[in-house]
Parts: sequence; C-alpha cells; structure tokens
Amino acid sequence: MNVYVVDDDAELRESLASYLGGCGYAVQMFASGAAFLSVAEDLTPGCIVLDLRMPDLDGLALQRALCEMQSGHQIVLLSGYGEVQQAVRAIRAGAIDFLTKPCPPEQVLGAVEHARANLAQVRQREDAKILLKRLTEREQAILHASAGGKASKQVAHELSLSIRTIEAHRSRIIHKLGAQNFAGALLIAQGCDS
Amino acid sequence: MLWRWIYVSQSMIGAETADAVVARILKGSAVNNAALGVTGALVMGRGRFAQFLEGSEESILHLKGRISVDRRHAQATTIEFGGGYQARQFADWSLAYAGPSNFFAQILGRVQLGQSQQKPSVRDDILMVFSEFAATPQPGSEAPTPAKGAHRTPRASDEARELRN
Repeated sequence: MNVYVVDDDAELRESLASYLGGCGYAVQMFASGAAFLSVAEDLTPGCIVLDLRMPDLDGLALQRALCEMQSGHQIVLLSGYGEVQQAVRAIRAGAIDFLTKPCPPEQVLGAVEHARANLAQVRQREDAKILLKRLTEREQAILHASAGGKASKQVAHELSLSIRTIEAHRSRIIHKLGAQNFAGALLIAQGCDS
Repeated sequence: MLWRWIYVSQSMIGAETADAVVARILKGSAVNNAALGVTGALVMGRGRFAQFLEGSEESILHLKGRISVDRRHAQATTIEFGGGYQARQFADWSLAYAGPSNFFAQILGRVQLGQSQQKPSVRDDILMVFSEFAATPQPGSEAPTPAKGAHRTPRASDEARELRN
C-alpha cells in the first residue's frame, strides 16, 4: 500500500516517511495539503498521514475535499493538540484515527495497518460488485433468495421454479463468479452487502 | 424535565465472540431504549464502553439499575447522573463509534474506573465527545437544519464548564 505523508513540518515529515518506508510501505511526501490535493485523484488509493494544522489547507478541509471526490484514500490525522471536537469530526467523517503529536511511531504504524485492512475490504467489496454484475437478473434473484444457505427446494418453492432450474442456475452462478462451490458464491454476494 | 446517565465501563466481551455479542447488544438496546423513550449514544473502544443515556427519571433509573448488573461489562463508572435537563442532546439512540482508534481508547482509558470522582479534564473530554456526536450527523444521513433563529442547545460540556467556573 502507498502511504502519503502530508505535513508542513519538514523534519517530522521526513522522519515519519523514513520510518514507514522502513516498515515496507511505499511512501511519498507532500509539504502542504494543496500539493497533495492537486494530484490526489491520480494517486493509487492509499493511506494519508495528515497533519491537522497546516497554513494553506488544513487537515479537515483536505479530508472534506477528498470525501467529496470519493478518492478512496484512507486518512490518519496527526495533531499537536488533543482537539476533541476536531478528532470526533474527523473520525465521524471516516478517518481511521486521530493521533496527538508527539506520538510513538508504532502508533502511526498501527493506524496505517488498520488503513491497509480497510482498503483491502473496500477492494474486495468492489471486486464482488463487478463479479455480481456478470449475473443475469434471474441469477441474482436466485443468489439473493439463497442467502443463509437455503436449500434448493426452499428457494424453488419461494421463486415458483423447479428444483432442476434452480440447480442449473446455481452451477452457472458458480462458474460466472469463479467460485469453488455455491457457498463460495454466497460469500461473494455477502461481501458485497457488508 | 429530563434525566441523564453517562458512564464508562470495562467490557467483559471476549474478542472471538465480540461481533455477535455487540450485534445482540445493539439490537436489544435500540428496541428497548426506543420503547422507554430513551435517547443517547454508545461508544466502544478497545475494551471499554461509554454510554450517554437521556430520558424520563423513571426510565433512566430503570436502565441504570439494569445496566449496572449486566455481566457483559464491569465497573460502570458514572461520569454524570441527574435530572433537570430541558432538552435532549440526541434525537435517537445509536452506536456512535466502535473501533480500534487510539483516540477513543485514550479518552476512555483515562477514566479511573470505580472512582466516584474523575479529573475535570477527563470528564469534560467524555462530555465533549458525546456533544460532538450529537452535533455531527451520522454519515450518510441528512444534516439537521435548525429552525431559523433557534438558539444552540446547551451542551453537556458547556454545563461542565459553567459548573467549574
């Protein structure tokens, strides 16, 4: 995962970037919120380690701008002060965490790792959505009706179809979704709903 | 006049079953609180709960009694308890936050469980968190539009500040 360190304090920016780089992340540094925003859309969704207080565009304003453009970036905010209001607002708006400087680098790493897990989940959900679009309406209805592992007989009854038809659709669903079996197909559908 | 009870406690829920237990707590509380006319919010962070409850004296006392003996948590420590409030802070009851953030872990972690008095700054931070949750709309929901000329509802943290002054 890419990590973008956005902080106007050069010393802190470089020390964070070097620490996170040492932990195996690809790190890019930005000296201002505006500098990041100008290329935000072109960057692979990753984790932004973002200073709250910066002269041109502060952390919360950048977070709002990124939310509006649905950038997909995860955000970890850093602040010199324990600003409870801003912290709750930032987390409420989707930030992973709000850390008060100086914070141990392991705390930043912990938050970055949560961001990575979140991104992986988002990606899985998006992949599932793309896969499900391959199904016809009827196949989607059968998959939906089968949620919770319902037997073919019950689904057939609910949809007023024959068991044979349900079974035939189920094997097509498994094939189209690239699943091992029908339980796997149900998991993909479930991942999309969560 | 409304009553409030705000407390912080230690979770006794095992990590392996946490999701299922939390889902059960949320479902039960939402139904139960709505029936009692109780509004508020629950915050869950790294082994601790914080909850803000507001409603009639009878329902808050009833809930306090029930919650205090709930074995899924321990050392429910009162941050604020009493009546005389004119307005609600929350429109409904919901889970405001559940997650691994350091921020909430620290705020809740500073509460000295089992103690009747907390440092004013610790208490203020908890009240401020709930005020902010009450003021910020849930993600994805419509922003509340206050009536024209309406005054800002006093928040718990304002009161905390007034009490100290």
